[in-house]
Amino acid sequence: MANEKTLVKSDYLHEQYSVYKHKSGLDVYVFKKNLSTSYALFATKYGSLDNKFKLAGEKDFTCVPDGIAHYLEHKMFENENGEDTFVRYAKTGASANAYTSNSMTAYLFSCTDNFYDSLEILLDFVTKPYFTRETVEKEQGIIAQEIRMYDDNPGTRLYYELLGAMYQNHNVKINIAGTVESISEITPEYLYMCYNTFYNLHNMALCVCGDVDEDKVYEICDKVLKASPECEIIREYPSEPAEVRSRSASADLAVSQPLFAIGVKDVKISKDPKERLKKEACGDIVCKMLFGKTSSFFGELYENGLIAGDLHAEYEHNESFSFVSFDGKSNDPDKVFEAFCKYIKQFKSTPPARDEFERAKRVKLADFIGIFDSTDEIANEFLSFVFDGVTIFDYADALKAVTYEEAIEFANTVFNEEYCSLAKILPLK
Amino acid sequence: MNLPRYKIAEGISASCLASDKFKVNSITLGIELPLNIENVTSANLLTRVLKRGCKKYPDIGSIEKQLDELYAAGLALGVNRSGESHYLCVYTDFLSSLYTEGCDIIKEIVDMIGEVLLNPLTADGAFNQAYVKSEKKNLSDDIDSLINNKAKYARNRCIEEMCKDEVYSLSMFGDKSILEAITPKELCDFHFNMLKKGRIEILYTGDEKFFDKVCAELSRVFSQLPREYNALPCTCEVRSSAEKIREITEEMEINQGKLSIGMRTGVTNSDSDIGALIVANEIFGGSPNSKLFMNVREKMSLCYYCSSGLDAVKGLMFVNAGIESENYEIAKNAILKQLDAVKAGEFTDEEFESAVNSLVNSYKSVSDSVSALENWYMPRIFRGEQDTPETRLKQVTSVTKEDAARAAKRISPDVIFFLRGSKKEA
Repeated sequence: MANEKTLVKSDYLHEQYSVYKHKSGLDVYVFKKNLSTSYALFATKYGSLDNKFKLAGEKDFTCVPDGIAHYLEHKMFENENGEDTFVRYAKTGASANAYTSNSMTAYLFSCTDNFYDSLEILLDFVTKPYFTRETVEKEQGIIAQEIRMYDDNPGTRLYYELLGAMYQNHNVKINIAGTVESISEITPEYLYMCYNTFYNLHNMALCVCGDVDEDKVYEICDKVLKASPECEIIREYPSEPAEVRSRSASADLAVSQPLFAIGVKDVKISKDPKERLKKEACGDIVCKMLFGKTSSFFGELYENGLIAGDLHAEYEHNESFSFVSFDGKSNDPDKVFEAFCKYIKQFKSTPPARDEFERAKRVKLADFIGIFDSTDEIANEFLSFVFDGVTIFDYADALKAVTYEEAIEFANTVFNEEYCSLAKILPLK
Repeated sequence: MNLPRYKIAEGISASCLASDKFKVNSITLGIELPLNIENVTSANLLTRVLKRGCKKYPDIGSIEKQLDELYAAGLALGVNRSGESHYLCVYTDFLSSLYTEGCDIIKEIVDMIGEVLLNPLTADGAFNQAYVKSEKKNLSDDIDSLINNKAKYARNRCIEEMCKDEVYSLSMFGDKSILEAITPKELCDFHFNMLKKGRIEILYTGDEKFFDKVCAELSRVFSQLPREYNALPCTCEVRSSAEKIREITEEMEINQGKLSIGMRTGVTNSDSDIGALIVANEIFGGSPNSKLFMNVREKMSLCYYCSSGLDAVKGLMFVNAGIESENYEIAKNAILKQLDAVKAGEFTDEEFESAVNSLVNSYKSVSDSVSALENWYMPRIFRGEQDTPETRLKQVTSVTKEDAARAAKRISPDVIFFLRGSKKEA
């Protein structure tokens, strides 16, 4: 039978979950946790990057306005009978929300009681779109305020300045919510088109985490979900050269002290999910090793008064884009950039010692274990791994498997001065 | 609230929040200080200087290296406030022994706390000159950077104006001119004086079977500490209502205006109306089902966020919203109109029940997070208050609609602060 459930265990993490292919086409994951709060995440593999797409067999690609995935997320909360979804949840006491990322739109709730009633609401409203010209227009004011809120947020602005400097074509540089102009083009027709393409259950997944009964979860799926037709979505992203668009970029904002972010663009992205995961694990360890508080780089910048707080370093690795970045506050971002370029050369000739690598790896593993204390973190990490074609337990295995040589190799290939950009947020003059 | 408790020394006690379900456990230590601007400034500087290095681990790199060795243990220092009480805190978190391959993690963590807090780098009765100098600069920059987060800035300005002559309004980070004058010797005296006189509460969250071990390790490290403990009176000035509404507007070059309304409730944790006020706040602006969300955002499309929250120690309520600057009057009136509706009892059974359900959900969730548990219990341990999330849940579920409306009538708007955007376009 196609819809049998499979149990997957990790002895290392002392955790387990079950996978079940529901007859509707939906993959259902139940992750048992003995906590008071249960959490459900119902998501589609559809984010702000997916602006050009077609179904297999279709001749032409469809192009839609920037910010539409996020707009759609907002509009899903309205129902045909006029009832707001939050009002439906209010009866169960669940705390509900939703978010849109580059590659995923997710609807969620957490609750301590009435889990199955809330799950029914979740599956129901996400599978029943209802948009009219009037309700779509009404949302423009709200989302415009969301966009303008982020326009004043130095961290968000810094991030997009950096992406804008690094990327010539790729739409990762476009704000997830779009712009006040782009969202004014959104119509109910566009929303239905995106909905019908991406909210196909074969392109979605449900992760439930908590002290829940799997069979009851499947019963709710049986009750609410109608089978989706098989589908293959073809997404097209603009091709991106290895070279950065510009060496530096900046914006002036009402801040007290400059903020900086340095990014290293990487265009070598494997089509194989396992390969990508391996690289991600490597990149995560390398970021900790090279920019963490125990690194010589951090120590020198701090001692010299060039930075004050942490350097938040991370490796973003996706099916269509990949980069290393770190950011912080500094009164002299250009000097930090200079020091960074020197550091790249230096670690290529004298790489960090083996024990620094081992420590970084230990830290990444320990950080990862910490995720499993929260049903919320588990479910969100869970589905982002699923949509990347791997599983959450694979990541722990990938981290454990990274060798010192692989980490050094990663650093040597990815860190190239010519693929670096510096972004700054400067105080108003 | 009957937490297992153990006296380590005069004015130093450890409590246990027993839970065996977490992979990451914690030990948090709070030292109470009288709330005045000198103490706030010194405590902030102190947390930074202590984290720079101690005798055993003389720089950031060596402290962090040891923490990394301890399976990515966290050790952070900070200054915290609850009502008008003020604490310097040391927060640690660490993996349960299930994952630490035989490492005696509890001993190691308590040792770290001891090294960083009790054995700082000193010479001739003063802290390291260079560390104090650079951290003064960093703290001064941080005080300046409070303008970076516009919503928080507006809220802080609202508090400053509303509680002008109350210590509640003192800056969280301290004062730059006081900071400028602090010498390494004075900071060192401040530190050892605090360790000698301050009340110290330690909270362990983890498997109860290790609490004895935690206490034994803490006793070993803290028993040598010279103590002259004097209990501080636990006070917080509460004003029951505002004299009149004051509107204050400031301009900044920003896209979105930030509105922050401060109100007096006079209702604190020990007040019999507290449960009713919490329900009233939830109906008014505490969730996506609230009047503020449903009307000011959903119906009027005026904002992306508009919500209310309580400070039940000081007896205050705050409303925060991000709006188009030209909509100030409309938004302000819409918010006050919704408040009047709650006061008049104009809410449906459904609105009332959803508010209670949502609160029940949040109180039941507290036990699922180490940080939520700490945030709940730590200030209550200091204040000697007995309420738990469970007792609060009972209070809230016994509230009637009439109770909620009655409690809402005790809310009086005091300061309406608006940070107006002076820029037309992004």
